[in-house]
Amino acid sequence: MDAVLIMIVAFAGYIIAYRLYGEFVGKKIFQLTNQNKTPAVEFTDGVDYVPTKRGIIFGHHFTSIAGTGPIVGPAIGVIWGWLPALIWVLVGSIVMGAVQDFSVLVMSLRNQGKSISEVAAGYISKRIRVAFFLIVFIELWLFLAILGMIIAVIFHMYPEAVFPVWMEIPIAIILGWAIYKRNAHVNRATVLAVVAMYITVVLGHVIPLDMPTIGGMPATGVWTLILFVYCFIASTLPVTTLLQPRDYINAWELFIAMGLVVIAVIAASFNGLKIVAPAVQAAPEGAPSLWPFLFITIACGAISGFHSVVASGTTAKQVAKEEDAQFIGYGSMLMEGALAVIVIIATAAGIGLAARGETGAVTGLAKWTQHYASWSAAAGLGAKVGAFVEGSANMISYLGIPKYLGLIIMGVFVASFAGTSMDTTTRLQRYVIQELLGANRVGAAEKKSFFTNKYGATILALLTAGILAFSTGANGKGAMALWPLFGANNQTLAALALFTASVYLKQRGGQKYLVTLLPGIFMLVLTFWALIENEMSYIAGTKVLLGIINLAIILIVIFVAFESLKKLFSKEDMQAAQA
Amino acid sequence: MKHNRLWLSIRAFFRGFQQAMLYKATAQIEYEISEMENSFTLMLFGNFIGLPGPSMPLTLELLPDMAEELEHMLLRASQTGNGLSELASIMGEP
Repeated sequence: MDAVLIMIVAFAGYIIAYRLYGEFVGKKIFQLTNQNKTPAVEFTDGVDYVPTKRGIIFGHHFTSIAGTGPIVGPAIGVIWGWLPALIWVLVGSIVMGAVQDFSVLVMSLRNQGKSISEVAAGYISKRIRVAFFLIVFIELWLFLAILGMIIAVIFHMYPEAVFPVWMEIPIAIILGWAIYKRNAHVNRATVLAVVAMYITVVLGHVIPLDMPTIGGMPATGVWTLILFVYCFIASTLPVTTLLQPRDYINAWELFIAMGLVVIAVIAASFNGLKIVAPAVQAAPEGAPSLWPFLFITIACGAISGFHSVVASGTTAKQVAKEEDAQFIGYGSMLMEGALAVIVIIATAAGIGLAARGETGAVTGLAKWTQHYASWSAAAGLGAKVGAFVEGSANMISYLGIPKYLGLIIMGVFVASFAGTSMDTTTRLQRYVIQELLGANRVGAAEKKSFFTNKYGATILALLTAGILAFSTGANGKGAMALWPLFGANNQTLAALALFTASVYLKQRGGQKYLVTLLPGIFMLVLTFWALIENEMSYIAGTKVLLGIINLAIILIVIFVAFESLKKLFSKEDMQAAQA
Repeated sequence: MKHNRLWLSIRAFFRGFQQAMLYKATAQIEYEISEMENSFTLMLFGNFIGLPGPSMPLTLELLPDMAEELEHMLLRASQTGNGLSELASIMGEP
């Protein structure tokens, strides 16, 4: 029963935190008031600025911040034991992550709906915009390489998931065609598409597709290459053709799979579901130390810098009342924390549970150890993500769904979710590259560059990611080396967002800025610490490329800290701003 | 009565979820359309900022019909700064 109790206590804790700390930050610190006009009301145009009901905006915003991160991060983070991971997810999301998302949303609301890079440039310094773009570029670069490996590893581990994942493409194309060209009823078409997708899941069991080694390249390497080619095609096609209907089906798939897991936790709790992972495993073999790496390994789910980019986008242009910002900004991050809690339960309890009717299988701590004995146990990342897939499938079996189907459902869920993230990342990276290389600058039209057009920028995005993916091997272990880098970079962005909020609050007077400054300093110190440890290990292991990227992030962290703290403690600036 | 309310709440939840999913999907199309509108507006009224465009009489003839689009474009240009946040918000966090 302890697993279900953890879930209930965590969910209840989130509700209480929302009521207490969320309201404290909203009402006392940021002094939300509906008397302040939001950009949606002030500039309402029925196109970009549209006042929208808070429930709908919450849905939009939550679906935008929930990516692959809250699944992969906690699935790896459990290696240090379930307790530190759970505490970090709970405390981190309540006092740091949700505060960051919320404060960025409020700052954007009070600055005409501007994006975080513009807001940060305004409050800290204009130079910060360059750092901002570099962080985002590095983040997308790393994540693209990691995502390719995640999907490749899932395909390799669960060949039954390959057929359903690829079949999503024709199903999505037919769905898009039916809705856009044949005016099919959206709800009916959705139900048919989702049913068709789950039929392919059943068929996947009959036709597993095992990728052989080709030309000495392991199966995961071949899959990674195929996925990058797919990404190029998918990202350069018009969105209506493939991406948009595929994202739409995936969203329903996420909803169904997560709903199944939540109900399964309750059903399995009556059948012996209990935590089998050790509360703390301070020094797993080959793993970096818990301090500071837990705090960068679990980013999304606790605090994710990229949320600041998302929160200051369309959300800020649609909030009708300023007081809704607490529900939307703070509440949706807590919801993501709840998703991370479910992942922790699946990887700390579900993994050790015998599936319904299963006999003779390894269970309990022994099973958990197979996945988490060391950083690279059973091919590193694959084993950690696999722990979530298998743990969930074990629990789902108590809903009457056989384990073999549960494995495919969850395998398809993770692979297609990561696939959506890969498409998104490629497209975003394309825009960042075009921005960084100056496609939008005056005079750029005369200097036609291959790398600033759609195809060139996409090739550059995928080529750089490919170099990174294969620089550490194509067997799934590489992503474990990249993940701490990704986390550290993401947390740098989080620290930058929190510092911006601190400058904003300090200008408003009093000690309120401590609510954002303390988490900001916490993230900055831990990130810097992790980066230094990373650098030493890369130097020791002569990993040149990773060492260079890590060094670049270190320099950005120093720059961000210097610019932010200089602004924060400059008496003249503060007095001028307050005046 | 209570069952009825519960049923209505469940329906409202699913309807809201469906709406959010549809929005997320269609927002990308809306964004592309707005970008195309921006390009179209620039083609028509590029003369004002030194871009070569159609002859001025033709441009001025179309001006009353394009006034609203011009306002949207100017607002976008002045408020958004760069479109990365907007795009990330539409496409979702990676």
